[in-house]
Amino acid sequence: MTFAILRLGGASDLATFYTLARELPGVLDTPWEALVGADPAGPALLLNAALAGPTVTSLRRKGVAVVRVERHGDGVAYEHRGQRAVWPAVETLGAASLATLLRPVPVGGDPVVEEAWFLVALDAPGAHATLERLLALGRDDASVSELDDDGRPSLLIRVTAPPMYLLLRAREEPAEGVTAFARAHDQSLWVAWSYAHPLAGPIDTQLRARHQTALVDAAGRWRVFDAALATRSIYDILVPTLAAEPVLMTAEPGQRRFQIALRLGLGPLTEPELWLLNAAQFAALEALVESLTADELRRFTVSRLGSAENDGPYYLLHELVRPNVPRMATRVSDLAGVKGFCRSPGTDNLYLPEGRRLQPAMRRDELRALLNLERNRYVILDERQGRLRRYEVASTDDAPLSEWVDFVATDQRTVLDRWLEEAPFAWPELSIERRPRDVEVAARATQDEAPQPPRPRPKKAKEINEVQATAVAPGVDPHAALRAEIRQLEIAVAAGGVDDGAVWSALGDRKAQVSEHDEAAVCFENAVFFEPEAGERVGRAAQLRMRLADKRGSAEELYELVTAQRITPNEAAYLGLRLIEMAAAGGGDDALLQEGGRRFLSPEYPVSRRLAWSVLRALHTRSGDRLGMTRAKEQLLGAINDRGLSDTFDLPRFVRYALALAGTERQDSTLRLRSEQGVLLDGLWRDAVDAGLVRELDPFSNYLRLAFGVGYTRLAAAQRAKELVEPVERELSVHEAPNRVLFGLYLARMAHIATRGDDAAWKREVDERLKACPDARTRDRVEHLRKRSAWLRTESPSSTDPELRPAYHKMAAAAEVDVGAAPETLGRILDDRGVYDYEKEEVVRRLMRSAKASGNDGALSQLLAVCTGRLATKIGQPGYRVRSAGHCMGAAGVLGDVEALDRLLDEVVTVCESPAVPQMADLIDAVKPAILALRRFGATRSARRFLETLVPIASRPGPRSAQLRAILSEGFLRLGDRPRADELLRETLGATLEATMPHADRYFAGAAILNALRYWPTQDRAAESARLLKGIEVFTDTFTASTMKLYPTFKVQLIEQLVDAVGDEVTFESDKVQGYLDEEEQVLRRRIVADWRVVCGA
Amino acid sequence: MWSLKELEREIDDIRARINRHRRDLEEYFVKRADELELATLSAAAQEPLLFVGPPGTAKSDLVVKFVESLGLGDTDYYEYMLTKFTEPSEILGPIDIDLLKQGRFVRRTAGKLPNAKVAFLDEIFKSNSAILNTLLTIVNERKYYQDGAPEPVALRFLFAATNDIPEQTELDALADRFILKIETRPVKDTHFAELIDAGVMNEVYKATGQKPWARGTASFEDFLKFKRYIDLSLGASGSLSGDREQWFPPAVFAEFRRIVRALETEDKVMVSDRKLVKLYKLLRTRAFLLHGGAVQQSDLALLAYVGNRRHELGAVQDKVRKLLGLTS
Repeated sequence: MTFAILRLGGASDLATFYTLARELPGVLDTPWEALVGADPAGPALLLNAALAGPTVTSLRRKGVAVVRVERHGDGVAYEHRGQRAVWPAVETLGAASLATLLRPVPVGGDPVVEEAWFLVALDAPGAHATLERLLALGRDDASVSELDDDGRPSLLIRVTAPPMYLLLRAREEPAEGVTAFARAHDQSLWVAWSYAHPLAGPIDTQLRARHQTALVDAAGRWRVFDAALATRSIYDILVPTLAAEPVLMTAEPGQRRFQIALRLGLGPLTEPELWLLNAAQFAALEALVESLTADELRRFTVSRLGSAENDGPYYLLHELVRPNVPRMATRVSDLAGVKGFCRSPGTDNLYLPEGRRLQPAMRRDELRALLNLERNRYVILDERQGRLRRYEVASTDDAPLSEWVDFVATDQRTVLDRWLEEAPFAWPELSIERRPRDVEVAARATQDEAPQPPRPRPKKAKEINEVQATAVAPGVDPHAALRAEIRQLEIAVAAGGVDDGAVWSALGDRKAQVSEHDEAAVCFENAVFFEPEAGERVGRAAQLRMRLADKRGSAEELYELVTAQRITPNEAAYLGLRLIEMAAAGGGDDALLQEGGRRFLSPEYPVSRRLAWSVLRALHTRSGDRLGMTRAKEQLLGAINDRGLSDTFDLPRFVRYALALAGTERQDSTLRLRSEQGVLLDGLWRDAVDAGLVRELDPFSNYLRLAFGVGYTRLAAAQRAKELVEPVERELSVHEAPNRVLFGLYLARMAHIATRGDDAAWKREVDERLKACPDARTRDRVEHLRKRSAWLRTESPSSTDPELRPAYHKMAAAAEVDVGAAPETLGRILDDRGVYDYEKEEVVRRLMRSAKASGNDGALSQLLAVCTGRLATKIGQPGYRVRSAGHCMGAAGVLGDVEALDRLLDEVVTVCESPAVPQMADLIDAVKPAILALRRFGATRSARRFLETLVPIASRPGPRSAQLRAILSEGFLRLGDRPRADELLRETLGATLEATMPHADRYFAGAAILNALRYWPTQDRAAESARLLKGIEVFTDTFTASTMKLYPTFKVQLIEQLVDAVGDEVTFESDKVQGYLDEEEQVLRRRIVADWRVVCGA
Repeated sequence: MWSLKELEREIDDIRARINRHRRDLEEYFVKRADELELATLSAAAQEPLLFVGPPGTAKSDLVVKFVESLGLGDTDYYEYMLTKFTEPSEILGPIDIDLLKQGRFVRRTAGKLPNAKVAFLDEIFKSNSAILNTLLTIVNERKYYQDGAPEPVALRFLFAATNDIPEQTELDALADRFILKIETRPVKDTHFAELIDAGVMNEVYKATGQKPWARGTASFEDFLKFKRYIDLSLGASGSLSGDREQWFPPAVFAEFRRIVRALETEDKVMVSDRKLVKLYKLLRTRAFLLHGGAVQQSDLALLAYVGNRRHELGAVQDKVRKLLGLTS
């Protein structure tokens, strides 16, 4: 009985022979026979003497296909898995070991291998082609060995990470004679690529033991050679040829020199350190000198120079560059109006214009000789009108710039005030005596045309902010000099707090000279505010305004203007100035003056607060009407308390520009912020589209488009806004009537923002559109959203005041009218045990509000004093106590009373630390004014304690707690604790989007988050805003079904606030603008109060 | 529609006209032969083509002249620059409001993509997801939806351009529809004078209202007939592998496979099953268009344009040329 192992010729053989090698390792190297059928690569029967008896049984148990073979003549028969196979004829192959008898089996596919060897006979067509392909693919890392392949010299090319193309080609193009091998096991056995040998493991072990390497191809042909086969680089077997005809060249004696004209070309932008200035340019540095500290002054040296052409004198200003010290070069160049010079790299004393370099580059010794660098202290190359000019400065008389500065005392009250505040000494009361204007002007007129050389320094105080008219130096372009003067004056004015009418008047003169009539008029009006006695300025301003308003100057025009329903700013200013003229002259129609006074009393009138006061002061001074004067004062101050100064009317345009240009760190801040915000809006819009929020014929999608449209319009990206809202306009007729009206309102809002219209214009616009509503029902639905929308409403949202009992209401109402008596009334109500706590809180709120609106700071201060002492003892309910503290904090914020604010914060902390914690709504009412005050004052003594106390309370689950947390996060931001603020805000947003909470609470929390985000740096608002936008669907509301069908109110409101948070107007107003307006507000208040005292004697 | 027998009588003339049309157009461009060849091939096979390159590399000009040279009218051509704000109604046409009031969601497609025979979409990958979905349906199925029902589009040739191919998975589906993508590079560094001469001449043509490239060498109908002929001939053999055995010699087919595998495994160029079939068809079309017979080794140069990502385009082009032993 003969047994054989059935080799199937497929991948299953790998398992069969792996098992055999493990079970019977001893039989591998014994003689084997193979009975092969018609297909040599197909099934075969492998016979060995060891295949008998228990061995067969054992192997079969392990899954090895051992079959019993029956011989029939030349053929054989066997049975496998129940099927009998008969091979009519077989070929018998013998081998000394099983390994050499087995052929590799295909593994399928095109495996990626780490390394491959390509065996090719030298005379095969594939040898040359394979080498060329390798080189074309940049694979010159291949190495090559030469070996004798059964009498044929062959190449063995070794390639790591072999190109797939070559592997495939070797397998599929046998005519090329290339065989690719891949490593079969550890190291020594290489099998035809994409094949595997069933006994690779044992063979590899044997080969390693013998220090041999073997290749076995797909046909089972073995090539065994010594493992240490010599290898060479692929280049070593190449013989490059070049089909090019040689041309021999030889060197010839001789030298030729070329003349090359040196020129100035574009060079690296570095800050200059040297300036060559004429007298006027040097004088223009006064503004710089004013702003420098003594240490900074010492970093400049000046040398006065003459020239052979007698066109001097020149001033050589040199900034000594110190490492890690900020440079002042940009300011110098800007003020002097000339470019400076930078030291040429590689030389000590050659200076070139900034941003230029000498071309072509030269050797240093040649450069020194050409430009006389060794004989001169400075050599300056300049270019004028395309021609080079070389200044050689042989010697200089350098002196520190501080030697050129005279210090004088100033007579400006605001400057002195500030100086006194900052001084570490106690000063007696100062009285300031102004120099007569004519003396001053005369003194200035006699000044030298050019700055004087250094003089001894009998100095007292540094000259501050004293801007003077400077005579134009001969040879200087008068227009340029005038511009330079204007710039200096603008810088001085932009610093804020300038209360010298002469400065404004000087600036107005110069503005008029350069035909900037509107700005000249503003300057004269401001001059009139500070110095009403200078009548000629009123006349000049009136003339300018008359021209700008296109008026003829007739009396009839004034009657028309004073009764006009609508009036332009120029017309209003013209009217005011003419009223001042009439009042000063003692003439004019009383009716006209009275009506004019009434008009200018309105805070809505389109003029600056200064001009309004100038008019009212003139009118009441003329008539000696003290009551009128008092009313005017309180009306104006109340309006300022209520809404601050207007950047439209109270911020001159040139001041805005001057502020934008001043300083280096904030240059182009507006543009940069706009661009950043535009990018953020783009990102949010993309998020909205990706989140599927933008759909056709969907009302909310249109609200989304309109809200973003408003945002883009604010950022001056009108075209983008237009693109965005185009579909809304197309779809307009499809939507329900209320939505159509509301879409129209939003579109109108865009136009309103683009044209910078005022509040009155917006109210008119809204009224017109509401009138066009087809019926009352539609109008109601429109109003439902419009009144809630921050953009569409025309008045502040009203809240229902709690009702006081008649007696107390009467007392409070009387105190609201007579603010002077309010402190006493408040004291009585607080002390009265019969008054409920809610009534006390309401009275505090009303009286504080009326005192703020009255502009009577004294009364407000007294009210605050009354409250702060009594809150803890007189109001028992914690909720009303903290609310009252909140109202008081608002007053402290108006008065700038930091001490009072701290006391009130402590008061809230005390209440919160007691067992009876107020409700969230009460705390929110208290916290809001506190945060407002922190925005103004920054971190105060008690602020952190205040916030830390409230955070745990706000973290308790309950209605509106998320809203409180969002508000508190801004508080931490104000304290400079950014990580805490971020963490609190993120956590609150997460809770708002995920937690189960009532619709209204969720909306209030979302709104508070967005409101807080406005104060985060622009870039950092993006992530949280996007998160909220993506989760906008959770902000549902519970209005009537019919209303929900029209629009989702909360979502629309939140989208508005989202756009506000990303593209807000607040951020455009740089801190400097706000700082200027704050400063101006103080000046205005002081002046109004001073004028009022002159008339009323109080 | 034309039958194979009818087309066989005139297909050689059509082929000659289309090739002459391509060569004629080359006169008006500097070093844009490859782009024009691909544009012609894409039009003949009615497969979309993507131009990838910076602004000012004649992408739009090439398409416009190609269209004008075929004698198509303004209403047959639709060109649009897509932005993230572009919405379906800008491409497909606005909703007909009157019909909408009757409860029907019908678009007014006059002058919009569904009615155009040739379209050029600039900055195609800047569009938003709504547009991408719309375009996918149009490119894939040659249809769009009117009032919920599919309607065929007239579009036959689609060209698109982009500055870059963003690496965002949501764009992969559309990018894969563009089987061929060609990088248009500035030629000013190598053909400075020729570029200025040609540019000035173009300005003159524009100013004087001339369109000399519109010679009528080939017509839009020629391209339609050519496509029809290729479609019919692909199935003419009657057996599954008949077309390949007749028109794709085994050696060239093996080379085709090798190059595709090499690009996939080494350069990670994704060749989807759909793309592979389309490539086969494009190779057959190219072979028949350029030399009227079976696919040759040189036709495989088309594989130089199968790269998907921006960074792949140059590398794939270089590699395919090297594998095919092409020098330039």
